[in-house]
Amino acid sequence: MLDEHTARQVDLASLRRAPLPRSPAGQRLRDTAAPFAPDRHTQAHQRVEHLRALENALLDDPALEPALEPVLQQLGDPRPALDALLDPGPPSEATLFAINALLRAQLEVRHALRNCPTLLRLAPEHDGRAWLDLLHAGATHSWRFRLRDEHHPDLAHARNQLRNASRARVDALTALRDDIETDYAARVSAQRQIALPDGDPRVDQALDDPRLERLHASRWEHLFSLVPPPETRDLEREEDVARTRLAAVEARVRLLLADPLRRHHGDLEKALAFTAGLDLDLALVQLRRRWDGCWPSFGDQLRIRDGRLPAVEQRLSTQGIRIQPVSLTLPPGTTLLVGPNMGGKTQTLTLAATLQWLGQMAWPTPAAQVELRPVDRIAWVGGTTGSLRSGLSRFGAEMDALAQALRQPGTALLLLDEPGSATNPAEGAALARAIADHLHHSPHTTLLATHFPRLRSDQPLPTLRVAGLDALEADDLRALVARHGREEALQRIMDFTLLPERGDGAGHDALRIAAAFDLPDDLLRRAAELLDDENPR
Amino acid sequence: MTDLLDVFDLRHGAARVAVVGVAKNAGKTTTLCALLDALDRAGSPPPGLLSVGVDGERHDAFSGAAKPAIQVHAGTICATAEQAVGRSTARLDLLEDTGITTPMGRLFLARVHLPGELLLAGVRHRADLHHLTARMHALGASRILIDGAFDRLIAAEPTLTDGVLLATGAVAGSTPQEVARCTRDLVDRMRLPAATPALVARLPRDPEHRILVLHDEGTTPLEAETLLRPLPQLAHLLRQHRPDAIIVPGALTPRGADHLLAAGLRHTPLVLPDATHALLRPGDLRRLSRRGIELTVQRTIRVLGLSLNPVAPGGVHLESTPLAHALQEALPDLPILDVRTGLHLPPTA
Repeated sequence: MLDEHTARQVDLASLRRAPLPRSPAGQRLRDTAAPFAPDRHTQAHQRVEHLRALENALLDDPALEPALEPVLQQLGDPRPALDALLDPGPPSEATLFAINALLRAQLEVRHALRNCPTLLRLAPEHDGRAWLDLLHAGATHSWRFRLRDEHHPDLAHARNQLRNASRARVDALTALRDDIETDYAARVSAQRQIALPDGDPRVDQALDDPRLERLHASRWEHLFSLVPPPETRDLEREEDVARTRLAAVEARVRLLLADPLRRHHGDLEKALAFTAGLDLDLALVQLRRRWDGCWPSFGDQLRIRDGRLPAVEQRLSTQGIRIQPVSLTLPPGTTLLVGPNMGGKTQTLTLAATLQWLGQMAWPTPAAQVELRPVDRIAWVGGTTGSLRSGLSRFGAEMDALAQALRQPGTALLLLDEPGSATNPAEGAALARAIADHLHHSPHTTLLATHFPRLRSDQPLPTLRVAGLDALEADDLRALVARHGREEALQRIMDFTLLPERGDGAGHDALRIAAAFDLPDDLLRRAAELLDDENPR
Repeated sequence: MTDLLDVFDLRHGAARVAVVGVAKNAGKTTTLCALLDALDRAGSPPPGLLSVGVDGERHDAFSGAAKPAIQVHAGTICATAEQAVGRSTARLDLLEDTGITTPMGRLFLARVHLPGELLLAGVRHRADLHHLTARMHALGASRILIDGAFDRLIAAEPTLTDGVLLATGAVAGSTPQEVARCTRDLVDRMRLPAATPALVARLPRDPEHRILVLHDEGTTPLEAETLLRPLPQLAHLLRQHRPDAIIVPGALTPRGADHLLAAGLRHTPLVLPDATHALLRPGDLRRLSRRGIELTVQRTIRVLGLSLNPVAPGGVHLESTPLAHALQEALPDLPILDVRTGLHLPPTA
């Protein structure tokens, strides 16, 4: 739905990660979710209604959310395990562990939802209890699957053989270590070595001791390694045999457990879809609360009331600044967006794209109200990143992106960031005007940000204007910049409200903003004189 | 008889200990095994064990040299991956699927029920390390040992560990003096001094991920979030204010130091979160120092001592005793132990 350039402009990667499911399974579902296409707006609406129902259920039963959270946290990521189960060989213990966690989570979720029939009816037919019985050999179900708990006679026998062989070997080595430490009053290291100082009478004793072998000698020390007694070699071999035998028995038991699970693979898939889906849904409800946002509705135009960009809101809040929400309505056709530099035009384009994408995902939107017209794609035209990547000039990249957007079938939300501004002004303005006119009579919805004055005055197009800077002298602005930094200072004095265009001229905001960038005073004065000459008041 | 727990004062303090090396094959794994053995012999409760990067392999992934296996005792809680479970001779009970993926599959927390050799799976991200240590504590591990990667100090981060054992030895130089110099450089880097209490009191309560300039009129955040690019705003600020300190929330690299110097910074302390964020060479530290720029940290690293390995791959073998004395001369306040031979030099300062 979004090309690479547009995805970068709206920071799609961060948007995708905004909902925070507890389990990796829920996160996987979030990462692969796709927007609803326009012909599936009914399903999108149903999805929103389902999320509203979940939110209402959480409100009706305050104990439900605390009950679900720890269950979903333990779900893990059963996806690789379900895939591994399809392999014919014995599954790993980790695979059975993950499937056990899935089945247990499903059972716990069903229990938590027992008073919510509307949500519970989405659960798979089988509750998985029989397979949990199988994995726990009829004993109490647990979140943890342990192969050694299986009641298989060969398993217990093989494990005991390994334990006994291992213990015998370790005991023999420990006895040797203790004897050496007693005989030589020296600490045996973890590598079963001892060091004795050169000239120490114990060195001669050690050289004659068959239990020790000298590794290294110097004028400071002699390093000896402990020589394991011959019987430990036999014990080592016994241990290896026991380990191999246990591994074979464990593989047989894992295969026995896997067979019935494989036969019901489809039901396990349903259990995963149900539990991971609930995890994502719960995260979406929590995201709506975190953003103090709204659920989207679907109509015939994009209408945003008090929309905010979460990343900008978070950044400003760390500086103690409250974000100024933005409202706008974009009917199909072209809407112009005008206003000063740094007045939030590009952010308004980003806001429209962001809320359209979130809405078409049926995810919550950071706004008081969002109504949207589903589109086939969202395309951003303009900005510099596209040109840097494509190797074209900024103008070339812009025209290329526009041509691509117009070639594709279906409807689009087009965000045009100052088209034509990267070429000579006369041709640029003519192009921008033609683009605005062409798109106004297309099935697309277009928001076109521009500084060209003729485009504003000649075209009978809906136009929004950023209110602009508060009245402020250049010196005061510089003082604010010195105190807060440029970005924060402008945030504090810029009015981002979008107003219907009043047609009151170019204004002086660009020159006043330039003052914040520490340009020489005489340069700024000259620019103001030239502006007055060209636009006498 | 020398006991590692006594040498490094580990019998009671330092619940979370990281073992890091001056270089690859410095003897980290040997030190870790000695630590595990000492805890077992002292009857301590089984620890938690996790690794940064990949460890537990029988052979060095780069040089192919044989590496000591990590021997674990029953009850030890470890972070290991799906494939590593099958390649360990220790028998494990899986406890939790952590949701973290590694090149060896999903990472699990597990408890050893039959002792043997263990292949650990490494964790790469700071946030994952914090999560795992918290979960290990919750699962009952009263002490956690972190096996650090050879080229990263992340395991030494003070929010993650209470103390660091530094493994050093012949791999760091061809003479005892060279090893001592290299080790002292790293220890100096790890032990950057703490920022003054007066500066710490002025730090924002909710740390921003932005560079902050503390000056006589307050605090100005720089628009740049990192030091990767030149800092014209800082140069401008320095013309108007004399800064009390610069707070750097991320890594300070040689290029970052260049940009600070180019902006005209001098006679100002830089405050980093901790020394693991100072990714500088000794020459960079000297350049900053010449301009009166002192590196300080919000959280200091506690170096518990030096673990000595006189043998390096490729046949380099230094004598343990002169090596230990050279290290003692360079770093007299740290205890030194050759865990292989038990040679021990206590701190003299």
